[in-house]
Parts: sequence; structure tokens; C-alpha cells
Amino acid sequence: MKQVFAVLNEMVRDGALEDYAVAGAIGAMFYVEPFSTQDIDVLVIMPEDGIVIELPGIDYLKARGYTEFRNEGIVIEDWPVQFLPATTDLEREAYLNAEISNFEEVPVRVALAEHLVAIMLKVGRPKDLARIQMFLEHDAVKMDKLNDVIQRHGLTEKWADYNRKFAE
Amino acid sequence: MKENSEVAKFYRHKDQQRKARAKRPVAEKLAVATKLRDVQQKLAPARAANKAKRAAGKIDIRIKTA
Repeated sequence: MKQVFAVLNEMVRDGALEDYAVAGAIGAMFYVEPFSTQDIDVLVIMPEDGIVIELPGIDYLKARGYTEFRNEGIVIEDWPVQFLPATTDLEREAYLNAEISNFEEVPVRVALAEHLVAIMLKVGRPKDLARIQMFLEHDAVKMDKLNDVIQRHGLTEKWADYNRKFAE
Repeated sequence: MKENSEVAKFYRHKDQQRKARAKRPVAEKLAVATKLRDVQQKLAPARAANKAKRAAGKIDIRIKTA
């Protein structure tokens, strides 16, 4: 994992990526505990919408010997890394506001918890809703900021629906 | 706002893949669980720092796209 983040940082440093923001389950693990996942989701800004095959840094990774694909991700140090284009306003905001965190002293840019929760709410799979519950239970989100994100990105109805189903 | 983003579609697709992979051998599942447990332990300081930041109200969304 540490090496994956180091490679992402090198991609930015060398201009292969403009920047990145770790999202998905691994991003969530910077805020709350147990999650099941096998890959690392990374939000990137790309010239055109698309997934992995249009990744600007693909040649960069191949040149460094990262040529294996698993579960549609490029395998970096045994972790499939999925590069996801930030195409909506919400995803772009998550990308733009990501903060530097640390993993074993390697800096890693991670989406804010408030954006991760909003994205989970939008995607809305059962496991996303379960993860939202964990963020709330662990006080891992600042509620006023989350409410602001939810309201600005048109998720008020989904949030109300979530609260009707899950809030005590 | 674009409702059906690539990311949302991609996550739904991933979920279908996950269900397809659910029947893989237990040993393989345990190996993944061990790897994740290791990551989770190493992320404990980051989690604590992020929680403290929120408790102190030090979270700011500087760039708003909507």
C-alpha cells in the first residue's frame, strides 16, 4: 500500500497525473475502521470521460513495469488501482478538496470524509449505506459540512430517505 | 448535475463483479482479509488525526463546485 501511494505521488511529481484523490473503501479507511475491499480507487481529472484505458499516466506506469490488470485496475505493488474520472460536480469537488494524510510517513491525498459520504449516498448500494452509518457512528464527519455538501449537490432527498430508513 | 456519473456506474459494475467473486476459495479470502487488517492497523494514526480535526472544527471545503 505504501508503495502504491509513493507511485501515485511520483506520477504527480513527474507530470503523468495532474493530481489525484484516494476515494472508495481505502479512502474511507482513513476515517473509519473495518472495510472489505481488494482495490484502491483514485479520483483523477482526465481530458475526457473514461476509465483506466484513457488514463494519462498509463504509459508512465507501463514504463515502470506495471503492466498487469486485475479487476479492471492496474496492479501496482500487488494492489489493483482503479483510476476513476471525476466527472460530476461532486466528484470534482472531492478531488479538488482532498487533503494530504499520511500512510507510514508517505503523504497521500485523500478525499474528505464529507465528500466520501456524499458519494456513497449518491451511489446508494447497500454496502455504501452501511458505510455511511459507520462514518456517522464514529463521528468521522463534520455534520454541518456534510449537510452543506448534500444540499449543494442535490442529494437532500436521498439523505432524507437514508435518515428515514436508518436513523434511530 | 450529471446524475449517472462514470464513478457511480463503475461502482455498480464493481459490485456485480464482487458478487461473482464471492465463490472464490476461503484461503484467498483470508489472504485479502489479512492484507486489509494490516492496512487498517497502519491507518490508525491517520484516523485519529482526522477525527481530532473534525472535533476541533478544522475542516474547510475551500472549493465549491455547486
